[in-house]
Amino acid sequence: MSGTHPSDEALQQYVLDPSACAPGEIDHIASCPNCREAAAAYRILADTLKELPAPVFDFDLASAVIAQLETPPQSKRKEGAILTAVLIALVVGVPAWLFRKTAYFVFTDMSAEFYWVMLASAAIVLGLFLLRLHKKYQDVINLINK
Amino acid sequence: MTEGLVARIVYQLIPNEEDRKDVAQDVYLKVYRHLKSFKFQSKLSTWVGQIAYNTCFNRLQKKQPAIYNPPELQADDASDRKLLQKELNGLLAAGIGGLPPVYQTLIVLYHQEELSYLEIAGITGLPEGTVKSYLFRARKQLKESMLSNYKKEKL
Repeated sequence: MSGTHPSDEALQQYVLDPSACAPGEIDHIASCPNCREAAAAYRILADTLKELPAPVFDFDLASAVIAQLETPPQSKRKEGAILTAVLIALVVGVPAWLFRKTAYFVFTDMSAEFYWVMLASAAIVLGLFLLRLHKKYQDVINLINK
Repeated sequence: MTEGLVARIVYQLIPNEEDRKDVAQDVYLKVYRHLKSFKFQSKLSTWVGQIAYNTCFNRLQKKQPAIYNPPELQADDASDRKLLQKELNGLLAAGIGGLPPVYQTLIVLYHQEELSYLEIAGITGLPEGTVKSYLFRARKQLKESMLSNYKKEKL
């Protein structure tokens, strides 16, 4: 047994994670009655802490929170949806109307190779986008479930 | 999923039953309102725990910290072990209540919620090294208070 007693921190470390203790300290604690007693007190402390009953809310927390949430007015949501639909119609419809005579030839005059290259590129981009979306979804689900 | 963690923090730090209800609701209202700002850089539970910790501490600035008394064990199962456990629980609850609020939270998060130093640092905003050293000091204080209370009771 070495002469100097390990520090209080070392005693706690010995109880919580003996693998992180120096071998000399472990030998000392094992053979020193005072240190063994102090380590035993820490062990009782750690065990009792673990066994303390967990507090539980004595009311339905989810219902209490939901009751306090303000819901956005329905009319505002409806207005937003109509505005979005009108904007999409304008963005797509106006150019389609203006270029209605020439737009058709953009597709019909295209060579077959160019057509397939465009189609393949679009498929690759879409595939990568979906893959990324799926990975992001998995990451989020993993994080939430941890 | 995060309710247990929030309950631990709230029960440990908020003394009054009504205040606990207010604080718990406040925590989840904040979570709901700020969910868009959660960037998935930490676990959701760590983020919610951080909100709970900050909300409790803001409330604590106005009021005294709590002493959480865990529910008592049933009287009909009064075996020696249960009695001893009950006695220890009482001593420990009193000891924890006597610690500074930050120490109380660290003890609860580490020993009862079994969170890592890193997760506790995320919740409390303290550096990991500070979490470790505060925990060492908290355990030492707790051990001494338990021993002295135990000796007092035996006298």
